[in-house]
Amino acid sequence: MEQGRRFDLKKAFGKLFSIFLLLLLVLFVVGAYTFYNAKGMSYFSDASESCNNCHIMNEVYNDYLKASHSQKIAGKPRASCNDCHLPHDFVDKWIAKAQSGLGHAYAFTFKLNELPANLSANAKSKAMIQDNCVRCHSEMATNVINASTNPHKDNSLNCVSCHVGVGHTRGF
Amino acid sequence: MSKKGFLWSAIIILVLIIAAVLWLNKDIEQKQNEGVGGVLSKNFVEMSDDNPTFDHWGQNFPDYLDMYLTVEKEQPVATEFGGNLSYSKLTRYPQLTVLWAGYPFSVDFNEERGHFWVQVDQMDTARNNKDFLNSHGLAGFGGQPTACMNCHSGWTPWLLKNVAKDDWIAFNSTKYWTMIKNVPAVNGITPNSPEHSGPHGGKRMGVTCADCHNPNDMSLRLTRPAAINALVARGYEKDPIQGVKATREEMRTLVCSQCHVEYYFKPTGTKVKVMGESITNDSSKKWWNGTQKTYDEVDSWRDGNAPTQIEVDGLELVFPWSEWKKGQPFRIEMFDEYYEKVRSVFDKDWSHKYTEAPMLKIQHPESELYSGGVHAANGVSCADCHMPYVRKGAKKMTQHNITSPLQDINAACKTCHTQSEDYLKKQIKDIQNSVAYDLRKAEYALVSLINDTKILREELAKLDAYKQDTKAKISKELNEVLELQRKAQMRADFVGAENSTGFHNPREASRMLLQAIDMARIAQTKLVEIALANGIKDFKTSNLGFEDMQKLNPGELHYKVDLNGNKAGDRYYKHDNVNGNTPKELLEHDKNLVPYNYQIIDQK
Repeated sequence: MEQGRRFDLKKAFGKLFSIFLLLLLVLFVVGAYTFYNAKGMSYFSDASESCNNCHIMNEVYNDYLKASHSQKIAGKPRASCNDCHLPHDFVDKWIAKAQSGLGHAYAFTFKLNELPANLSANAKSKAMIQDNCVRCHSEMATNVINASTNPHKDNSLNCVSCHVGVGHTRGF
Repeated sequence: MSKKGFLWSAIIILVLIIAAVLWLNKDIEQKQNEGVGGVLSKNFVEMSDDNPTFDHWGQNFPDYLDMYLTVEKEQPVATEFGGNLSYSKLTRYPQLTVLWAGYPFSVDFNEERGHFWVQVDQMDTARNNKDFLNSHGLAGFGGQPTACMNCHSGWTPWLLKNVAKDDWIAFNSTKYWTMIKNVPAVNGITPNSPEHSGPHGGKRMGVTCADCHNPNDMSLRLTRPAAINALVARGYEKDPIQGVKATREEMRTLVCSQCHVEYYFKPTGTKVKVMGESITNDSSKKWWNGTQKTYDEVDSWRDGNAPTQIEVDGLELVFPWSEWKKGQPFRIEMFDEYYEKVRSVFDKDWSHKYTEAPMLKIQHPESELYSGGVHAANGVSCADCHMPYVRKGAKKMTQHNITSPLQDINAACKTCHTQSEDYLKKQIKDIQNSVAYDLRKAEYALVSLINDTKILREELAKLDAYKQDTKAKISKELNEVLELQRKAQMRADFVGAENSTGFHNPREASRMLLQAIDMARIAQTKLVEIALANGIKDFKTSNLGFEDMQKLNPGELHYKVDLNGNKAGDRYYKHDNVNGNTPKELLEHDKNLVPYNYQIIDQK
């Protein structure tokens, strides 16, 4: 009798475990499909098209396509969204990418109705953009910027204060 | 916790996570749909090329459908150089009756009125009415072929696939009136009911969503083979989904280039089997001039008339673009070169009634003119100005009531330009008035040339040297003049048919009009030389102006003879707002344009 009960327990446990495994498989499949549906792989690339997966970016993306940085040289744009909006150091880049990616996904899923029509860059984003302007245009920029001084602190002008249309005309 | 309890918790958590992921998946899908225009998932209808009607697709995009349909309900208004009041352009610019003499356009030509109406207007136009053409001395023209329908009907891809069985040449070569009878009844419409003949999904439906959008994801696509062929000739690569491989930015212009182009019907030189009508065998059915009817000029099969198979001369809708390579700005000389190259198979659209010149009629070459302009050079697409972003509720949408950017300068221009709306409007008006002045000057110069050529032809015909084979001999003598007329008029026609009065590229428009005037005046000088060489001493050239043109005003279109139940003198168009006289203020404006009365024009 007792042996039998123990046996049943084992059997029930085995059944539960199968259900657990099955559900795990379902989760994997559903997860993979969602990832595919959300064009998940595209976010691992540097393609500007990926940013435009999200329709909030339509206008900014169209502006970018009209602006100087999207002009293609040998099939590649002079600069992609990521070239200006993310750090270029490998580790920093992927941390920033993960941070803003999750932030964007969260906002797009749960806060879509609260988002403004025209987005503005936050302080961190502005700093990254300024760094990237200088990095690519260092030859020109060294004539203008003295890296050792920053008299106006955060109130100083940055590159896009004047060169407002180089990336996209809206959203600064 | 026991092992079992742990497993239970794990299972519950897993179920919750799966539910959450499924919800996320649904949310992603919903937002992707919103991104392409706000699909209401509960009312979602399946979109496919089997039912391309905007009434059907529009159920998924009610806001866009509303925008598109505004033109149907809107009160027609005429503007200086456009608008959607379909008045007769022949009453505004009577010189066109001389420029196009011998061609159906000289009889009937109205201001166009938007994408919704294109098919309605094609069915109504006298240019597509064989009896009317016969009674107006244009018996050589047999009404329109299906090639004309390529851009007017949203049913074109369906008919090409299902009726012409993907035979592009057979599709184009079929009679328009035969093809239109095959539009199916969808959306619960009763076959051969008034709705089946109507503009909402029926036979009179104009441009529709499916013409530019892919049913799967609403991305932009090209559906018209002529456009794809022409782009391939220019150096683009074919694409099975989009039509040609191009960026989204390019597609925002290319979808418009499916139709807003110069085109012609190239004879293939072969016979093709197409759908015909059994009315050919019914000896009781005759055209007005007594010849046997070959097709029934209505939109449905009736009175036992049924489809048959016939053999006709093949023709193909072609855009003359092979000299215009990808990435280049268009130049009018490219058309000269192109039409010279194909002259052995296509030498003219028609022979000019008064001069016998081999003429080319240019259609609406917006794509060509725009390509070399300052906006194109800065990467601005057609959609940027003609379909600007507008706010509708919480959504921002592209405007689908496609019209003049002047209707909403704020949305269309101020996205890029920071000046005031008033300033921008003045700049546009200034450009258009300036080009319109050049265009009128060119037209008047051409009518003067045609007038002079006609007189010299009559004078030459009196001479003994031309007594035999008169027409051909005189044409040979006047060859240089006739070629100049062909090229000059092609240029004036280009700017006249282009729908921006030069705004899409003012410099190129002015340049070709300067050429046109130059050519017309050189041709007049040649006429004097030829007159002198033939011993005609008192030959003089003319220089006609606005007042001379007004004497040619043909008035509204009326029946000349009793025809199809209508009495001679009856108005041809049933609708009052189509083919009316030119609004007075427009004629007043034109009067001040040549000579350029700046004191009045600059005040407006």
